[in-house]
Amino acid sequence: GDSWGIFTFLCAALCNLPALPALNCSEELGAGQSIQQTYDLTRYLEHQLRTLAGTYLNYLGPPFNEPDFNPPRLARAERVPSATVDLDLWRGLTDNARLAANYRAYSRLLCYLRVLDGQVGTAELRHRLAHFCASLQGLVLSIGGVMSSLGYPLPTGPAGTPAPPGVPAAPNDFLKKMDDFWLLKELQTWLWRSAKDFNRLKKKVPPAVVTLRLEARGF
Amino acid sequence: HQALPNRFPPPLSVSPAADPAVISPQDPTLLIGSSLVATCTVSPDFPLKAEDLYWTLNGRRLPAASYAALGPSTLSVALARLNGSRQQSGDNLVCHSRDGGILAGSCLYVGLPPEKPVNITCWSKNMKDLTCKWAPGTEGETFLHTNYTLKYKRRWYGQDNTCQEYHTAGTYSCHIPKDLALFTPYEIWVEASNRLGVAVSDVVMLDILDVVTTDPPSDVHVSRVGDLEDQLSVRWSSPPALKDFLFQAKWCHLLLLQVVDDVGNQTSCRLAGLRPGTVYFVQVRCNPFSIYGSKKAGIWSDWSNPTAASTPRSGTPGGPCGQGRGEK
Repeated sequence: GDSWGIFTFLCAALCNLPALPALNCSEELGAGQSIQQTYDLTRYLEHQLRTLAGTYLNYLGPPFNEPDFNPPRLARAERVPSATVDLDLWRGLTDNARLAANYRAYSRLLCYLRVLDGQVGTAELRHRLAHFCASLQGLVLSIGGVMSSLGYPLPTGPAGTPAPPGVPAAPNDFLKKMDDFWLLKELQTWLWRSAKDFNRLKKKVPPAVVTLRLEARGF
Repeated sequence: HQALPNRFPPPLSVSPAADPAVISPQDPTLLIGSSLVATCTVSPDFPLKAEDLYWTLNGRRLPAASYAALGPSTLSVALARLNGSRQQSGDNLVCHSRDGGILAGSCLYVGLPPEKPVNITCWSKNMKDLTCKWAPGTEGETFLHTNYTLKYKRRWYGQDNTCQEYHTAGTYSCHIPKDLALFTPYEIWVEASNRLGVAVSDVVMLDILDVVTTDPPSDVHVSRVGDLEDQLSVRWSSPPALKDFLFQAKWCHLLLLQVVDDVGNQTSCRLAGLRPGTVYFVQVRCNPFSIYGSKKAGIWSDWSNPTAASTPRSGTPGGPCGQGRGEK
């Protein structure tokens, strides 16, 4: 619910303070609970995205905000990581690979969203975007927390680095609107997929592991 | 999900190999009422002819009567007397192939240049900062995103400064947090700019000490005076910031039944001539007076939140329920 949003926002806000070392907000909780919380976060973000996307697409204007709008994805560099993957491949992903794919995707998506934030016209939209970015940052940290508690190394390249070089900005305003549209679509698809990823992970991390880890930390 | 069975989640779209077409002009800025002829030229890689194309503006198909084929794969459209842009991100003019596919698009920015911002008012809460607000000059709107920049400089000293913290007291406002001098006049103005032009407000001149205000008084308590039916006693605390200054608030206005009652520098007063058995809502506001011996009033603070109390009523109860609805 709402308290989750506040928790992640605080987490994200704290973790953005330059003076503090990177906080792992879910470290204390154990892998099983972290996975559940990450799952909850993806559902919360999905909900938030619906409102944000609605507002943003209205800002872009028709036809972008029409429900059946489905433009071709023009062949510029695929800057936004695609959630779509071969089904058997997806099923066969190791926990590490599954988590890493999520971590990398959201880190990249967050970068692009932040760039958007700097350019957008209305104050209301900037405010919503900033809020969403904070929550998304929380998700990245949460996934990182799950990986750490399961003993996996974090994928290299810290979240929040500027957009990777070699990805050109859109050459005109209309193509930029298309890029923004696809960014929102990919976010939507990723959140939908992540819920399934974390559901799968939930079943694979038994409660016994959680207890062991709690004992090891002297609780 | 009508997905290919082995792709998960379902793929979003199919990508063509290259930019299918080019529109000219690309992302133009235009004055309201102007006309435009735009052309869509299909790339040689694509097997489309001018007659296979059509145009939409903000999702609505444009009439074929306004089209003209300028070449085998170039179609133009004439737009006359354009209205202001439907959204600030620009109107979407799109060139489509016959099956509805999007080949290219251009964002039209149609609007008006800004008018001079007006009604600049400023105030300082603590004699160190300054907050200003203004109103946009245009009665309607410009249809284009308009940027406002508040600038200030000390009179007779060269350097212009730009305010950085916007929207602190509403949309058209800015806050200057520090580095302001006292006992010196400042020139303040607002520049509005959009894609079609710039407009500069008139310059406002002020000394920070002329526009000092405070937070309203806190802890306003209203209570009865024994059994007296026509009186109430009001007490409040001086707002905390004032204690740091070299002066005390000498006046606190009390507005009751539209009657203004000067109170001087006390933090309490008594209201008389009230109706018995009536609920009253009381608010207090403050004015920092005689700052550094200037013998001038500053700017009145906002009113404190209303505090309610009722005067006693002796004699037989009865009469309608909920009698004596509050008067401010």
